[in-house]
Amino acid sequence: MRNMLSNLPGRLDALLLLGLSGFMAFLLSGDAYWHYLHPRFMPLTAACALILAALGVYALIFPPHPSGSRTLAFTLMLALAFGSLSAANPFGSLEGPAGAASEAEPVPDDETGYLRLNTGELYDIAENGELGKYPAPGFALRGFVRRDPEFDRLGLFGLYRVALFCCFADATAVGIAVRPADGALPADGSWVRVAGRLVPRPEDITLPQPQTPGVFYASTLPGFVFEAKKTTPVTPPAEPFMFEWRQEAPFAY
Amino acid sequence: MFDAAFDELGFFSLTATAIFLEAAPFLLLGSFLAALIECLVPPERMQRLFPRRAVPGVLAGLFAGLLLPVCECGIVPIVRRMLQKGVPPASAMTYMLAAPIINPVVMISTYTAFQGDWFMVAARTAMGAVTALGMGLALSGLSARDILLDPAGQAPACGCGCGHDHDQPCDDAPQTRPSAAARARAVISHTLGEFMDMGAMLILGSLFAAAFKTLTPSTVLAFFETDPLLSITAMMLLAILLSLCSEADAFVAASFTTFPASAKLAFLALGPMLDIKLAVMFQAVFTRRVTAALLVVPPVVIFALSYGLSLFGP
Repeated sequence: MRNMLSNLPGRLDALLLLGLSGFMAFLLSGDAYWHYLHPRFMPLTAACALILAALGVYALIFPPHPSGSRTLAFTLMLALAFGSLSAANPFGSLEGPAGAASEAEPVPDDETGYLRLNTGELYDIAENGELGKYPAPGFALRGFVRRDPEFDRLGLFGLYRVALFCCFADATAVGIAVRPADGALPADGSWVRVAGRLVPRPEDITLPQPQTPGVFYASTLPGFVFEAKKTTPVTPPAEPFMFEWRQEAPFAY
Repeated sequence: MFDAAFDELGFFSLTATAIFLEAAPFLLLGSFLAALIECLVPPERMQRLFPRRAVPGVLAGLFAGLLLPVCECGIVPIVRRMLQKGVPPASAMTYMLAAPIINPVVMISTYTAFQGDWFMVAARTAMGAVTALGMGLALSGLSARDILLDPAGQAPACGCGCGHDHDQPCDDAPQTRPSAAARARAVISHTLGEFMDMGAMLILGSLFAAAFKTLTPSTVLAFFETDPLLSITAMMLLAILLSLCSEADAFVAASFTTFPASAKLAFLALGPMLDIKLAVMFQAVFTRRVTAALLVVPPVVIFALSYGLSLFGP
């Protein structure tokens, strides 16, 4: 009995490891993994979950030396991990498959010819001076809307996607300033698809760089404004984050 | 007010969890490699791999970083075991700073993030190498006892995998060689212990990084982007506080389009060598003097190199 009690802290560590393993397995089996990590890490997380489970079982049988601070740290991590499942939503970017658009969304007749790509890809094309490679009528891209007093004054809104390179900690928002043809500015946080062309920014205006909650840095294409001929409300894709942006067609969109 | 606070807590927990989830596999790998070194590699064999003299030693450490790339999350437990096994500090400490940055994966990600700009790849690698070499030479005169916080308390195992107590002699006569099962158990025990100890440090670092990211408005960066000195300083601080992995930081640095190349290079060179996660691990493993050196010298060297680049570079 005394032995069991003295080994209890070590066995608690074992349970914590099993809990973390279980959390990883839960993420892998569900549709929330991409909230945290780039999907390419799934095999790595799976391997880690298996090994942590094995270590957890080993620790139940052969408890490690206890350490209060270590147990506290892992307890806190496990609590934060499960608590993060109900995390806030950076402007529709964490909306899951429920109501999410099919990746193969049909091209309306009045958008035929517009090259579909994402904000990161258009950003790179503009920055690299390659707009001339893509003839009329222009581009079609989607993202969440970001309103800002300065944007409103200029009759613009920001269109962004959250780019995630490895994990949510390195997520940045990449976007463009959009001028809708009819002047109607969509609601902050809503998802839209715009079709139009990129024109040089008038020299007398400075584009704001509005913050996106949950994301440390937002980068708005500085030298251009997107003249949208059409703005259409859409539902976010199943994985709203940008995990891929290509240097040439076919683009990731 | 409560909604906003709840949202912030949500982002905080999401960020901290993401950092941990990404780093955990690499820490597990580092813990396993450290356990292998601890349990299966005799000190004599380990010491034969690295030269004793300072200059060849740091070069060997640099070369080891190229050959055996390990991300910064897993490097500290490995280097601790290397030092305990008698690897000269010149090699071990150079390897610790070089491995997370002078490795093919990081070079490729830098090349991709900066769209084929070889200058950024070369400059990042060179800045990392110079800093690692400098630190290795500076620490070459110290012993493991001077560097490690508790070298005696976790004295190196004989390396035969027997798992016996450290004060017992090691007898690897054939008839007493431990079984494969005993050796495996020793490796598993050490992996478990290492992962739990370093994992707690990783969690602490993740919490700090997540707090910074959640609570700091990104608009503060706008104050620093025009002046070279301020931009380099700001980007170095950002590298420490964001605690990004060296695979992803190139893409983040590339997104800071309004900052000069010298500032972005400072971000890229410093991050793999020093961030909050590493700072917490350093103070748990190294003596106060060595920890202070690791916290001060790399930033100073990288600042000097970056500022020089801003004056004379492209």
